[in-house]
Amino acid sequence: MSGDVTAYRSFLEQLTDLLKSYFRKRFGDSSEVDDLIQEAMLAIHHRRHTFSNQVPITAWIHAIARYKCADWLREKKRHALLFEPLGEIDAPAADPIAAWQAKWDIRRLLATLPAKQRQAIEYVKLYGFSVAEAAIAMGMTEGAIKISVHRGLKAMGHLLSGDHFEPESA
Amino acid sequence: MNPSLLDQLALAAAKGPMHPSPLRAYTWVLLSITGALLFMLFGLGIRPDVSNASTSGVFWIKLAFPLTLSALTLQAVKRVAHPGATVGGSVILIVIAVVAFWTVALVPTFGGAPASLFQQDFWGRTWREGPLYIGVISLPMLGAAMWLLRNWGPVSVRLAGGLAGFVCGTLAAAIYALHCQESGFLFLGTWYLIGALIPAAIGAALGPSVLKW
Repeated sequence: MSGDVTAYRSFLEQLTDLLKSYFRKRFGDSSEVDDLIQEAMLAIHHRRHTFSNQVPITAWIHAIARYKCADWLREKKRHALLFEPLGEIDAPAADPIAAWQAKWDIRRLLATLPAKQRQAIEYVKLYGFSVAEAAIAMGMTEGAIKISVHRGLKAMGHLLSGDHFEPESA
Repeated sequence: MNPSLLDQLALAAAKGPMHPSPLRAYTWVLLSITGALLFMLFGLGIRPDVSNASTSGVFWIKLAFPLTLSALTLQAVKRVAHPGATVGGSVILIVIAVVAFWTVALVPTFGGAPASLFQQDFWGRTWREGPLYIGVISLPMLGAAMWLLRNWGPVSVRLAGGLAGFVCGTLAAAIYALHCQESGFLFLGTWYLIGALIPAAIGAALGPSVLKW
């Protein structure tokens, strides 16, 4: 971390790879995620004086990446891009870009859920099946479908509120 | 990430570490402590019996208790300002110090001292104003502390703000001790602590907006 341009240059390269895998594993691959990766890298560069030898460098990088993660999700939540469109995904959207973003956001969130909950939400909330139809399609009782949808939505809600976001366990 | 950006960053880094100037930090710290002292001196006044009182042990304990907490909390702030460092251990030390002080303060009570003594030790005569003055004295230091912490990298912004506030609060309590004529340990353990928690609460409330990076 001290002196040497080429050494620091190669550190930044490795860092870029690390951050790419860190964020893409969580949020997939998009220009928005690329922006986030760049922001995290700049933050690490600008705050390089906060690295101390008492902390392992990977722990330092992860702490900053995690912070940027939580911050990013909090910002998104604040701008209310995410949750609002959930009920109206089938309605024709006025703005095709916003509609695409909403779909992408939901897919990203859904990917974090257990398969059962994800499928239940997809059938009932996205494809417009009734609870009874979804129950037949998934070979579950109607009650189980309702519970899965409810738990899934709740988990997604938790994920969106930064306080409960724990990327390490993702 | 485009390679030319990495080149630029590497060159920028080679020009020297982007370290916040320690000189400026010390200046801020000294100025804010001076401000707090001046407020105590001219706003409240040093206790009139200071030359007598300073020969007693209690006078020095009143300084040592909050200053010990300041020193312990400062360690915690240092850790919280560095991403990836754990803070739990140093926070536990602060709690241990408070519990230890309380244990000592309660010895007379459990040793069979009359309840009236407890009342007197606990409430003193100035429990209403003490915490408020400590809160006010801490404000210039709180401003400086939050400003300085912005240059570092706290990832738990609320905790960082709260701990920074507690450092300022305990320093303010030590400054207030020069004015205050109470001598009960229970008074110190309660009202000085509550006073110190005022800037801690303010710091924790401001943390997410002020310390965000």
